[in-house]
Amino acid sequence: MQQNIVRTRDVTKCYRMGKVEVHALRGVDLEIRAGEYISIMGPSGSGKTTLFNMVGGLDKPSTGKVYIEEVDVAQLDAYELAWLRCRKIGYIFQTFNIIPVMTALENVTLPMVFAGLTTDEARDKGVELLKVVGLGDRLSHKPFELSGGQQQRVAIARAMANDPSLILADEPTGNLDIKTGTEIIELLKQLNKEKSVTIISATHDHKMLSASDRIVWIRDGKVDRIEERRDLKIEVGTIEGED
Amino acid sequence: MNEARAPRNTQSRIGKQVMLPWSKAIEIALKSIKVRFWRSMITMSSIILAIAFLMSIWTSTAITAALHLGPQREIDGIKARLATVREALAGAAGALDRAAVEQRFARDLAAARGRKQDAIREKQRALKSATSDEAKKLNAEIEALQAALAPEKALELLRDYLGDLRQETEAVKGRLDPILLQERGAQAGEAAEGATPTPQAASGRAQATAGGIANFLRYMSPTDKWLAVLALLVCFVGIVNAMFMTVQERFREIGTMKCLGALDAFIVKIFLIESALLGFIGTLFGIAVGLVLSTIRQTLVYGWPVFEYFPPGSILTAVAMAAIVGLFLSVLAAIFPARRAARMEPVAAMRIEE
Repeated sequence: MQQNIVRTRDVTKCYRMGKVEVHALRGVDLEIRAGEYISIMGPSGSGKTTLFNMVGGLDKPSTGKVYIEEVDVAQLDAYELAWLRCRKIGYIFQTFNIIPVMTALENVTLPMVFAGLTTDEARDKGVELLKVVGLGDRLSHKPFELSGGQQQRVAIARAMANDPSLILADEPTGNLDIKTGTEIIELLKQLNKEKSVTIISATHDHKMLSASDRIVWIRDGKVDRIEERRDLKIEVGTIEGED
Repeated sequence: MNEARAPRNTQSRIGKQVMLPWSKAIEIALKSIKVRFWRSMITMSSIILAIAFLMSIWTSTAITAALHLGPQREIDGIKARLATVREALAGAAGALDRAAVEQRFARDLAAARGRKQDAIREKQRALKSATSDEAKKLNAEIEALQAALAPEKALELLRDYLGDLRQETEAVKGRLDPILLQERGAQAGEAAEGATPTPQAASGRAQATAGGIANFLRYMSPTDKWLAVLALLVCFVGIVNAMFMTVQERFREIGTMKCLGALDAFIVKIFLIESALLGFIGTLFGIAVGLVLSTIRQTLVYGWPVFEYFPPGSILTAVAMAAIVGLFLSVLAAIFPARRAARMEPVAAMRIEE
């Protein structure tokens, strides 16, 4: 039986902004299978980011449950959450978020250091990962010496550091030009296939859609519809209209 | 049913994140200081200034106290010797046994002989470049001095020495700053100036003065104390402010670290170490600057006796205290910003605004 890597049950999220209550999510049920490549789409203010954060263990629901690898995130303490983020989930950000004081290699080894690997083990694995993302010759470059695409590659290598079962990518191509963005998407797709890591991304990028197995459309805090890729090709026109 | 069971079954698969060793936190903190060198310098400058100010107040207080107490202690010491010798000579009256005197006043005799020998050597040096008339006179003086060194003249030698000591007391008194003498007079005037002190009383007072030098803080004026407290307060606020700004600038970095599995305590550690390192280096600079400037200033005011009576004990105490204050202050000032950094949600890393 194929396992769900992420499962949400009737998740709601309610923020209080001053005296106004904002319902970011109004009951989301979602199942994401291990090894899937999923895109979450929706206009801004739809609750897309909230759902994304929820699924990635960065935020806790007001009501309902979020299970990551069948573990209720709400019941984890700070140490367990940190452990989960360190080993089970890899994060990729729109703004790359390479730690500016560290070299490419140090950025990649940081999560391994957090996971308790020795310096040598971390180094060897870090070098290997940077080779996988095509930066084998830029190990000791500082972030400011790298282009945006290269920084995002470092971030992908870093996300893969502890062999996570899930990678969360928040607009991974948002700050990149079309060509570099395509390369990054191809790299993600490649990792998804070769290492069968689940990828969840929040995106506006249509190139991303064609790489996805499923697309989750969010509207007004609810799942509007979920599309399989095979249906997508027929509906390309609709998607363009939607954006 | 399934939902209720699932978490319990699988909860064990989630481990607890372990705390990283200090060495890693120190490494990261060092790197981040190096990379933000100029910003770190600004943070550091506030502690340099405050500690330099504190150190200069303490140094000048210690030097003033030493200038004040040092000569007084010398006088007390000389007076104590004077008293012993005088008492013994008086007690022995006419019936003086030379051997007994030599045994009892071996130290004073040696000192007295040393002085005579110094005088002889000096005159012999003068002899080399003297005219024949002067040479004759000098030779006579040398002979007289050598005669005084004869063992049977021990008593005369001692009496001579007494006279020397009295003169010396006057010379040291002359070097005391008149104002300081006045202050001192109010405290211990009568005892020092009054009737011949007994040796016990004199040595007791010498100890009291020695304690006084180590405890130079007593000599800080209320204004000095107030200024020092103000300087430290300003410095504290400065560091808190600088660290808060650093946290603000680094929210994304902190968020990213937390996404990568950093524990709150680790983030706190990084910030505390960073501040402690800056504080430590800044304190060292501040101590050096304050010490040097204040010593120069005191030398300009009081002249070379500043070095003659320079109080290494008090200065070392002041250095140690300033180091502790500086380090303590910089760590204390970083606690609130560090806690704020640690409480930052990992979602902060997702925010797009610069």
